[in-house]
Amino acid sequence: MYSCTDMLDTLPAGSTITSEQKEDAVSANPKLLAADVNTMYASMIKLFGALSAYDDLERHNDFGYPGIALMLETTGQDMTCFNSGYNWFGGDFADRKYDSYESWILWNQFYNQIYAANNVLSATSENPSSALEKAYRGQALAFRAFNYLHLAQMYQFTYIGHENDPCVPILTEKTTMDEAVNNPRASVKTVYGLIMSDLNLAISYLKGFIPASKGFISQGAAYGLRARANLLMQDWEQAASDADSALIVSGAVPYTKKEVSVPSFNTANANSVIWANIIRETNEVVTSGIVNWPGHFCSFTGNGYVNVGAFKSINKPLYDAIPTSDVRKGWWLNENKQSPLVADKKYDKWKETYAEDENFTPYINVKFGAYKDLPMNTVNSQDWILMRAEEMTLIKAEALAMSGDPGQGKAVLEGFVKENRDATFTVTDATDVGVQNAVWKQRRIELWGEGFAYFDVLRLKKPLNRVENGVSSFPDAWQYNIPAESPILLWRISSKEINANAGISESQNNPVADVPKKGDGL
Amino acid sequence: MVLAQTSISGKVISAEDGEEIVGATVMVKGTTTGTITNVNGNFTISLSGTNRTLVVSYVGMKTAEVLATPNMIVRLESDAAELEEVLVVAYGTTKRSSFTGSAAVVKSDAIEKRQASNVTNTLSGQIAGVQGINSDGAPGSGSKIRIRGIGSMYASNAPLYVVDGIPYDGDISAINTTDIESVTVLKDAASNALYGARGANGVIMITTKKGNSRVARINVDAKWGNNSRGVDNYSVMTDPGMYYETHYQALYNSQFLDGKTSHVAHDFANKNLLDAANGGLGYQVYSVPAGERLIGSNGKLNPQATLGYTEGQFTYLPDIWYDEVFKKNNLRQEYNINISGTEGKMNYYMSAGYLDDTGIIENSGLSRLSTRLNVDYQAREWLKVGSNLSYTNSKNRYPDEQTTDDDTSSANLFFVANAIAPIYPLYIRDASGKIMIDSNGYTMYDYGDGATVPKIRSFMGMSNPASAIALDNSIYADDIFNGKWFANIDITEGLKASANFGVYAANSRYNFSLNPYYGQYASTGGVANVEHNRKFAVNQNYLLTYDKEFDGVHNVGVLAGFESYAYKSQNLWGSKEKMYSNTPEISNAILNPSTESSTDTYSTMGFLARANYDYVGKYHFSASYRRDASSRFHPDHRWGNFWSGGFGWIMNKESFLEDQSWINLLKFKMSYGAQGNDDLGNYYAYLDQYSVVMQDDDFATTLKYKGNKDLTWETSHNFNTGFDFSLFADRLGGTIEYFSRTTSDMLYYKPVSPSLGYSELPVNVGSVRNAGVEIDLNGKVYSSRDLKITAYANATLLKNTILELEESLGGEWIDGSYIYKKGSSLMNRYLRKYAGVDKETGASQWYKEVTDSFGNVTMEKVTSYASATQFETGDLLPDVYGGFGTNVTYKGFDASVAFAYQLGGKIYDNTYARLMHSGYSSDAGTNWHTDILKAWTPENKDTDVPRLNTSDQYTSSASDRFLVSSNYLSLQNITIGYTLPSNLLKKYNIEKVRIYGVADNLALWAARKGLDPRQSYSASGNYTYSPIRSISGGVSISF
Repeated sequence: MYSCTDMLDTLPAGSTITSEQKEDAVSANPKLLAADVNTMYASMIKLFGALSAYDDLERHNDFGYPGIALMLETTGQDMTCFNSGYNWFGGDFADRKYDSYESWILWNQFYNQIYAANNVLSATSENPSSALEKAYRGQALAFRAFNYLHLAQMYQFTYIGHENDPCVPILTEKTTMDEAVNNPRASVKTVYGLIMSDLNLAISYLKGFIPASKGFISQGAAYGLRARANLLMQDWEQAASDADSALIVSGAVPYTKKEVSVPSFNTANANSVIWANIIRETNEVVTSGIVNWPGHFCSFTGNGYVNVGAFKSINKPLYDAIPTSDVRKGWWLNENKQSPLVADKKYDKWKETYAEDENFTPYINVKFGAYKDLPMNTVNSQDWILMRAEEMTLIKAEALAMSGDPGQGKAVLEGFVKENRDATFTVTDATDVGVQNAVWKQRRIELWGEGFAYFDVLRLKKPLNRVENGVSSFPDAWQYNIPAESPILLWRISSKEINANAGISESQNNPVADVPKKGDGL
Repeated sequence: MVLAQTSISGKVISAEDGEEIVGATVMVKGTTTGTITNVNGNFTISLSGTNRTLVVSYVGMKTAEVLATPNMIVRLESDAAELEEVLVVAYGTTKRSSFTGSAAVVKSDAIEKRQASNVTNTLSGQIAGVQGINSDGAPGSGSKIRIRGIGSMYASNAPLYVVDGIPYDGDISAINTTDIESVTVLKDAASNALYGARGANGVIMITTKKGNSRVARINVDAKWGNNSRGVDNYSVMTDPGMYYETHYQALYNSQFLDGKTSHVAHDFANKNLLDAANGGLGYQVYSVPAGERLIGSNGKLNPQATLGYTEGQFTYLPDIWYDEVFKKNNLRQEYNINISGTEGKMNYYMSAGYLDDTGIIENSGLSRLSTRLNVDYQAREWLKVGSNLSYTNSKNRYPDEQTTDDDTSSANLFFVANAIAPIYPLYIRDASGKIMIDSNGYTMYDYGDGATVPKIRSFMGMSNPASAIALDNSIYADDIFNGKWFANIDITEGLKASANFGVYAANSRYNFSLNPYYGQYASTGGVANVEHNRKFAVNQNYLLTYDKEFDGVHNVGVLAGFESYAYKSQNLWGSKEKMYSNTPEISNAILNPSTESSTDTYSTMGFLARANYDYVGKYHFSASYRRDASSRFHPDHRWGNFWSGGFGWIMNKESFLEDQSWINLLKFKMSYGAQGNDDLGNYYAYLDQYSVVMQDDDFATTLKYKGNKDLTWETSHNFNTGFDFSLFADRLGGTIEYFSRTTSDMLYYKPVSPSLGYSELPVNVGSVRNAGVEIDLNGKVYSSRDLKITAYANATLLKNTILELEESLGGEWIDGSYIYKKGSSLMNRYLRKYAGVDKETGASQWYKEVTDSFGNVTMEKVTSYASATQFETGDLLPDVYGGFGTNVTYKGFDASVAFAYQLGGKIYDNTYARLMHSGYSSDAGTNWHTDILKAWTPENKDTDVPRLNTSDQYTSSASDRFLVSSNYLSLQNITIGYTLPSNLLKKYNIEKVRIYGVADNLALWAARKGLDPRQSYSASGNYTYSPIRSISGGVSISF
C-alpha cells in the first residue's frame, strides 16, 4: 500500500529526461555539459524538428538544415525537379504563403538552432576562463551568427542598400520572456551588428580549439562565417582576409580533380571540408529511411524519393555553359543520360536499375555520392557539407577583385579552377566586376546544390532567370523569370510568429506577392 | 350451513406478456392451504368454508388477491415499478428519488441489441447530452464520447471511465458488452464531483452483471453476420475516358486561358497529359491507332480508343480500386455464454465470450476471447467479500496507417481507394492482360514507382496500399486482466466500512513488419518491428459510510474515504531491416538494429466525503467534497479542492399536487459544484523535457517539451437544474434539464513566438462555457396484452462560448484555420471567403477587405488567394443533437429501431475539397467529384465551380466554399426478434429461445453522399477506417 505522497513525484524513465534529471546528471558528470553544445549540431539534423510541435506534424521536408539548403536551391534558378506530388521541394514559390508548412519550417528551424546556441551561452560564463568554456562559448556564438546570417538573407534583401530595412527579431541568451513575445523586427544593420560581434568573439574564443571532428565549429569555420558576412557587407578586404584565414587555420584544400571525377561530397572526412553535419547511421533522420537529404537529393540512394523520379537536376542553360573540358560537366548526366562519373563499372548496378528506366532523366545530378560510395545503398547516412575550401577560395577571389585588385582576384580564381577543375580555364573579363561575375558562375557550378545559389542572386541583385534565351529545363509550369529584388523573392515571416509576437503586426510583415506563373518575365 | 368442499382450477399468467407463470404460489387467504402452479401455469385448489379469496404470489410480481371462480385466470402485474430504481453513483448506489444530480442509464437490453465490440459505440443517440465521435470504424475501435460539449481546448475532453467502481484507463474494447449490466453517465457536479481531479468531463460508470435468480440461469447467445462499408464513397468519376478528358481540359486551359492559341494549348495538353514529371498522369490505359492522339482537338477521347494498352511485357488496364479493396463477405461471429445465480450467501456470474470481427478490408479484424467471474459471499453476518475478475485475450489485426488523420499517407487504403483517379491499374497485368503472380505466389500489384512496371503514378506513386495490406503485418496481441476485490463490513447498525482494491494489467505485443518484396521497403529487404507494452494500474479506496433514520422523518447518509491510483506504462521496442522471410520477428532480420525503451508513471490520491439528508423522502440535500492531488503538477500546485451541493424536491408528494393523480412523479432538482481536469496529455507538464540523442558519437539533449512549473488544475464549474417526471400512469417519463458548465483556468498550450525556439507553453488560462438544455423522453405509446409499443427521444441543445482568453491575446487567437475569440465558439474556423467564379476568366475569387483612406471597409473580389482576407465562419457546432427510437412487441415478436441525429451545424468537407482540385500538378491523378463537370468554361460561365487549370494552385485551398451542413440522420440499429412460445420449450427444460436479426449502421443521410459528419466536430475526410455496417442473425437461449 502506498501511503505517502512520494508516489505523486513521477518522472519519466527512458529517452525523455526532465530539466531536473538533466541537472542531476550534469552535476554528477560535468562532462555532460558538452551535450548542450552537441545539441546545437543535433538541432541541425533533427527529424521533424521544426514542425513536430504543431500537432505532431511530420512533414517529409522537415529534416533539418540540409532540407533548408534544398528549399533554397529549388526556389532558385539552377536546380530543377519534376512537377509532381512527390516533389517535396517544389520550385513554385508556394512556401512564400506565410501560413504554409514550408514557411513555418524555415522560420522555426533557424530559431530552434538559435535557442540551442543561447542555451549554451546561458550555461557558460560571459567571461569564460577555461579553454573548454571558451571553446563552448565560441562555438555557440559562431553558430548563432550562422543562423542570423541565414535569416537576414531570407527575410530582407541584401545588406547593401537595405541597412535600415526591417529584418528579423533578435533573441539572445539575455532576452526575457516578456521581450520575446513583444519583439519587433530589428533592422538589417542591427542584425549584422550582432552577427559581427558574435563572430569577433567566437574567433578569439576558438583560438587553439582542436575539435574532435569537423562536426564542430573550429576557428577556421568561424573565420569562414565572418568571410561570408563581410562579403555580404562588402567589406571586401576583410572578407578576403577572413577567407584566407579560414583556409590557413583549417588547413582545408579543395577537392582534387581526381576526387571529383567520381560522385563525391558525401563525407566530412574530405580534405576540403571545414565544417559539416556529421550524420550517423543511428541518427533519426537516417533511421527514418527517406526523410533525409540523400532520400530527396542523392541520385544513388536505394531508398528515397529519387527512386520515384524526384531527382534534382541542373537547369539546362547553366549545364550548357559548362565547358566540356571542365570535370564538373560530369556532375550531371548529359541529354543522353550519360556522364563519365558513372561510366565506372562500380556504378553498373545503379545503371542497371535506372538506365533504361523512364524516370532516369537528362541533367540529373551525380555530384553527390552514395553512402560509403555504394550505389543503391539503402542507408542514407551521408554527411552534409556546410563549408569547404572551394567556397573560401572563391570568396577570396571575388573579394580581392572587388577590393581594388582584380588581377590578384583573377589569379586566385584561375589558380583554383585550372588546377582542380578545368585546365583550360581563363577569366576573359579582368575588370573587378568581370572577375566577380566569373566567380559567380564558378560558385553556381561548384557549389550547386549546397545552398548558396539563391543567396548569391539576392546578394548580387541579379534577376532570377529560369529561362535563358528560351532555354530551360524547368517543368513547364515553373518556367518564368523574376526581376531583381522582386517582393516574391523574400519569404514572409511565419504566421505563427505574427500571431504570437505582439511586436510584429501583419502590416509589418513583408508584402504579399503573387506567385509567378509560367511565362512571366519572358 | 355446510358448504361442500369445492375444487377450483385456474391459470396464472403474466399481465405483461400473457405467458404462463410456472411455480406461482396460490394460497387461500388466511389459511395454510396452498399450491403451486404447474409447468403450464395451471393450479387446482380446494376451497372449504366461506373463504374464497386467493392470494397469488410470485417473485418479481405484485401479489394479487382475487376471488376464486371456476377456470379463473389470474394476471400478475410485474412489481418492477414498485421497486424503486437504484442508481449507480460515485462510490455507491442511491435511490433514484433521492438523487439530486443528473445521470442517465443505458441498460443491458439496449446495449445487447447492438453488435458493438466496444460499448462506447452504443451510446450515440441513446442519452441526452452524450455525443459519440466516430473517427475510426475499425473493429474494436470506440467512439470518442463527449458529455455536454467540449470544455477544454487542449486538455482531454474524454470522460473518466469507472468500471465496477474502479477508474479504468484501459481499452474499453476489452470489456465484453454482454457482460455489462448498465452504463450510467454522470453528467453534473452533484454526481461526479467526488471523482475530483478527473471528473470534469463527466463520468461513465460501467457496471458488470451479477447473479440475480435463485435457480442458476444459463444464457447462450450466438450470432453470425456480414460486415460491409457503412458509408459510401463520394460521387467520383469512374469513367477513365472522362478523367483523361477532364485533365486534358485542365492542361489545355493553363495555356489557352493564358492567351495561347488553341493549337498551342492542344499540343501542350497532349504532350503533358501522360507526363508525370510535368503535371501529367503517368499512365496510358487506352490504345489508340498509331500516330493518333488520345484526346482530339475537340477535347474528347479519341473515338477509336479502346480500353487497355499493351506496351512491352505489360498491359495497362484501370481497376476500380474501391470495388477491389473492400471485401464482400466479411464474417462477423460472436458467441456468448453466461451462468448466473444466487446460492445461499453466494452470488455469482460467470461468462465466456468469443468474438471474431473481420472488418471490411483484408488483414484487419478483431478476435477476442473474454471471460469474467463475479462472485460475492456473505462470509459472516457482518462481512461480505467478493471479487470480479476478467481476463481478455485479443488479437487485433490493425493495419498501419488506416486511421491516420494525415490524409496524405500513401499506405492508407481508405484514402487512396476513395481518391485515386479511375485510370490506374491496381494489379500488374502481363502482355496478354492476365494479372501476374510472382514466384512467391503473391498477386502482383502496381506500385506506380517505375520499378516493376516502367510507369510513375502521379497520385501516391511508390505505393500500393492493397498490396501493403496483403503483405505487411500489423498485429496486436493483448492479454488484459482486470480485477477487483472488496470487503464490506457492517460495524454497527448503519455504519459500514469497505475496502476496494482494483488492478488493471495489460500486456500488449505488437508485431509490425513492412514486407521485403514490394514497396518502399523492398530495397531495404523489409523491416521487422516488435513492440511490447505493459500497463499496470492499481487503485485502492477505503470508505466509511453511515446511514441512519431519525424519528421516521430524517434520513442521513454520510460517506468518508481515501483513494489512490497509480498507473505505469512501459514500452520496449526494437527493429531490424532485411528480413529473411515475411515473418514479423526481429530475429528474422539482420541489419540496422534499433531498440528503445521507456517507462511513464502517473498517480493521483484524494480524500473524499459526502453527506446526504432527506426529510420525509420529500426534500433531498446532498453535498460532497474531495481533496485530490495529481502527479502531473508541481508539488506546490498539486492539490485541488472539488465539491458539490445538490437539492431535490419530490413535488408530487406535496399536498398541492397530491390529488393530481396523473402525476406519478415530479421532481425538481438543482446542483452546483466544481470538478477538475489534469489531463494535458503530458505526464510531467510542469517540467522541461529533453530527448537524449546521439550526436557524432556523443550525447545531445534536444528540447522535447517546454514545461511550466505553475501549471495546475483546469476547473469545471457545473450548474444543473431541471425536472424528472413520470405522468399518466407512468406512460410518459422523462427529464428536462438546463445545464451550464464553465471551464476555467483552462489547460492549454499558449502559442508563443516560435522565435523563442519553441512554439507553445502549457498554461492555465481562459474560460469556456457549454450551456444548454437536455430533454429525455420515453413513453409507453400503446400497451395491450399482445401489443406493446414504447418510444424514446432525446435532444440536446448546446451552445459553446469562449468567455475568456489570455490577456496578451487581446481577445482573439488565430491558430491556423481556427480562430478563438471571446464570445464565440471553440469551433470557429478562420477561412477565406469564397466569392464565386470570375465570369470572364473562370478563376476562383475570394473576398478581400479593403480599407480606404477614410477608414471605410469594403469587400473586394480578388483572384489572389494569398491576398484574400480570412474571416471567421461563426460557430460550426450543431444547434441540437440526439436520438430517437421505438420498441414494438407483438406476441412473441419484437422489433426496435434506433436513430441518431444532429442539426444546425457545419463541417469542413476535406474530401470534397480534395476532389474538386483544379488539376494542379500535385493533385494530378487525384480523382474528381462529378461536380467538376460543372466547372467554368467559356461556354458555361454561369457556374459556381471554377475553371480547371493546372496553373491554379489554390482553387481548392481552404475556404468557406467547402463548409457544408453537418446535419445528419443515421439509422443506428434495427433489431427484429421472435421468442418461441414457452409452452413449446418446457418439455426440454428451456426457459426461453429467441431468434433475431440485427443490423447496425444501416444508413446515413447527410448533406453530401460520402460525407460522414459523425467523424469530427469541424472537419471531415473519409480517409479513416470506414464505419462498418453489420447485419447478423442469431439465437439466444436461456435455460
